[in-house]
Amino acid sequence: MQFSSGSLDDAAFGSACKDDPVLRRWLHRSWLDPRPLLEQSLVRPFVRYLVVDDLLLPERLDELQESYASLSVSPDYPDLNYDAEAVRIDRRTDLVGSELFLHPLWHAWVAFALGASLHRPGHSVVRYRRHPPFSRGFWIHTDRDRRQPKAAAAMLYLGRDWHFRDGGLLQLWEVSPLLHADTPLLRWDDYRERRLSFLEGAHTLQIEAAAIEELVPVQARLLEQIVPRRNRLVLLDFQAGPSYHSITPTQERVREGVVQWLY
Amino acid sequence: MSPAQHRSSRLDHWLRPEHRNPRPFFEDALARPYGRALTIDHFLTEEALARIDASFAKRTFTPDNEGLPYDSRSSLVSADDELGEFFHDREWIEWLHAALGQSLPDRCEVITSARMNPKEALGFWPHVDDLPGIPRRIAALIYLTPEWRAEDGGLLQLWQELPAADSLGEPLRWADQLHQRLDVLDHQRELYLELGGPWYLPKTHLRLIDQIVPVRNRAVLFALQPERMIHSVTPSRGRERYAILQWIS
Repeated sequence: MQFSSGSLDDAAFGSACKDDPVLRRWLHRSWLDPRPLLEQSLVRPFVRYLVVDDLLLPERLDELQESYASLSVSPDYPDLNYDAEAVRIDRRTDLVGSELFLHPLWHAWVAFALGASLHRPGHSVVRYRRHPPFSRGFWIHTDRDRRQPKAAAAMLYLGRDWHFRDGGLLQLWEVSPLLHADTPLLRWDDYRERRLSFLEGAHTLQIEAAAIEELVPVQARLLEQIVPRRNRLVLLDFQAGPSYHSITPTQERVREGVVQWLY
Repeated sequence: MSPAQHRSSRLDHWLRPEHRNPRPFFEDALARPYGRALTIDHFLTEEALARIDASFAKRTFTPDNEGLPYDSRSSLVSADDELGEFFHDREWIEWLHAALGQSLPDRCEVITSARMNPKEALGFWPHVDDLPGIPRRIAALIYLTPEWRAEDGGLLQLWQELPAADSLGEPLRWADQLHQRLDVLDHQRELYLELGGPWYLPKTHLRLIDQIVPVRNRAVLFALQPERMIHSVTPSRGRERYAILQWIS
């Protein structure tokens, strides 16, 4: 495993972020320079991801959440094993958060932090997303897409005082082809409209993972479980690997966040 | 569990305000799949870092790795020196226990050291910190070297213990690794070896979970019980590395 970073261009990019008025208005000053994040991203052995806590200035986060309170959401992926409600907001320039989410240097910041490169700079999809009380969870999947390849996903969580027992944990998996199943394979079709309780507390699963437009039987090993804590940003790369992930079912609380895809 | 928020204390001077409440970290610790471990960035205040830097500049570091395939030098922090004022403060010890969900006994032993790993540090063989006869409960690390890069090495690696299998052959031997550069850690995601000793050498089958870059002002906190946290450190490439290391038993 060899890593290389730290060119003069990187220093210039770090300075540009530190001087940028939009990033300075939104981000906690500790996070303006994404260079230390890139170092962490480069050494992840299986899934390139980052967890950035206390991303936004608290007053900006409050404003952002207040402006989203009036949004009306609809089922995100009806009939699929992904239980959430969402609304697309990347054309809503009236929402206060759009200043950040539609800002080209923010997109570049995310890509830089992960070590990804954007093929369609300036293009992004932003969704405000809620998981209703007792949501069933998200099946193990990749966000990779044949039609319009995604470079990265950025997820910002909004729920206050989120506890482990509230559920809705983001799980990251190392996935390898399943050579022979020694337990019954978890099949997508068997879990339609059902709570994905098997995700809770499992370290390994033999499951049909949702790959690019098909289901693939895999051996999945849990790498990490991330609590959707308020003002936590999670970045996932889809260029270095498929970055298989899932979300555990929730209890009675509404899980709330913003998800952004970059291309 | 929640600290007195409005009382001025040493914690306010040393910890960044967003970390003052340990409760959210406890939730993270519960979620970790292979033992309670926390990685917290931008942990201490600038004022605290400046004090630590000044203290490190005055210290003499002596080898603390005799007979071990570890490569480090350290300087003990006592309860009454300028770092002990914080690192041996009851409130800090309470904060650590709360963040990791450990119950705090009436008395606990705290060992704090300022650590220096030399420029070409050989790395640390995979091991656990709570050895038989040394019932440690918590390990805390705060990294201090500025602008540390992935390519500088010194990565903290976390491992999952897998079931042993007949096909594994002979384990990598602890004794063979003494005074060797542990380049094997840079290249293998799966290992079959004698877990770190010297008097505790069970054959163990490991698979890598994660690697953590020792960036300045990042804290890594481990609860050493009830689960074991098997970890190692990759060799360094040309830079001295500094950290505060604390064990609580």
